[in-house]
Amino acid sequence: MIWIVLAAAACVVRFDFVKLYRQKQFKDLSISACLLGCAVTLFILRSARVPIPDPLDWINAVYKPASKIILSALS
Amino acid sequence: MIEKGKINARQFAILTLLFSMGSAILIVPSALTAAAKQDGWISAIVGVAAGISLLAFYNALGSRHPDLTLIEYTELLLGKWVGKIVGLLFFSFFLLLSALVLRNVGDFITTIVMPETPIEAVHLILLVAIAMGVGLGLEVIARSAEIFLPWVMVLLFFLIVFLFPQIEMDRIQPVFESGVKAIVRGSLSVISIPYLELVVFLMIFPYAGKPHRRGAALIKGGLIGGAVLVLITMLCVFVLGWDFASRHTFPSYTLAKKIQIGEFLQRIEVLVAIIWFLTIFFKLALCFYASVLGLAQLLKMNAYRPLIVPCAMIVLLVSIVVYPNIVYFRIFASEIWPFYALTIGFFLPLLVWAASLIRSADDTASKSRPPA
Repeated sequence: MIWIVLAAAACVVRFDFVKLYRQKQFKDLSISACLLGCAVTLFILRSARVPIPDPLDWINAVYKPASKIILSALS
Repeated sequence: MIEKGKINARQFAILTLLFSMGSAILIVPSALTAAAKQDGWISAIVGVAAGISLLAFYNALGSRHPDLTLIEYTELLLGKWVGKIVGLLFFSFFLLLSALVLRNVGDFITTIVMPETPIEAVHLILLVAIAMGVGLGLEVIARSAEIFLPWVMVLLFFLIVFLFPQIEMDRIQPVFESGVKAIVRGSLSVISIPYLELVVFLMIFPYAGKPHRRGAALIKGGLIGGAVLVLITMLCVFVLGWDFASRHTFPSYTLAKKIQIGEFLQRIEVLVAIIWFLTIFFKLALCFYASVLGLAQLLKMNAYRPLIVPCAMIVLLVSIVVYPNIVYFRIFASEIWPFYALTIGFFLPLLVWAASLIRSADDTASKSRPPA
């Protein structure tokens, strides 16, 4: 998995980023590079078996009380 | 505008139809029959009715700024900071939705078709197709939806017609046994999947043909998709019985397994699974397109193309991390998702709409005031 991701990242750098650099679209380049860096970092962390936080856990934490109240009113 | 593509109203209706059939057809019959037992179909009808009024609201909101996408006019109306934060909330919703839809497909394939395949492989292959589609643009996605629609309709037709011999009318009785509360609880799942998720379409609203025809197309697609959902839920109750349907994770697939005409037409369920793949593909393509376009507009970029591969990687990661097992998902989908989707799909657009009304009232007031 991680090899595929790293290979894809390398392809993106080689094909897309070089083109963006030549077209002098530095804002696009920097945003895309940031995102790519985040994604690759997360994948590396995951392959090192570091637990990745789960967005659904955060949503659960926020909405559980409201959900309990409304659903028990509907039972 | 970053997107230069244009689709017509017919393609918009087809996209709405495929989107609303999307993962709903896999998840919703089970949730409906679990909540309302054999009255699941009544729940579905109530949910579709509420969903159509929601679509009318989206049309009203989208028509106030016919050339701007949701994230563009959010930032315009709510100011730079609040607008950007709300826009970020929308973007995170679209991205999370993409990850969840992808995970649905992955779960379906690894549960039903290829249990020994690691789920990451399925996700990767589908994401490559999605990334290519989104890279080619909205017009291409819409045109391919037009091409695939007849296949989806034909396969649905076969599913319904071949199941006719196995319908037992008794399974729907006693009607209305569950009571109004259970029916409303069941309709929450239909409203949240797919109708609240149709807020995604406010991102492609400005590119969809003549402004006065968009609302009708949206509602037409949503109505037909809802009718298909109601029909499938009815079939689940008629053919499988409500207890069976509520226990299965994918009862519509079990429905397809039951097709048996004579000795020669059996085990054609994978052909019917093609319906699910196609509809979920378009749902995922649109959600991913909305998130990539939204982020590009939020950050005022020149084009959304450079964002496609990084966002696809993030969607891939989130789709694997997002829930450990199907039980977590079922509880999440029935108890938490309706409220989260309600916040992002209804209350936030309501806020934007209110801001739009206040702004235009301000504008007309200041225009009609005589110059000082």
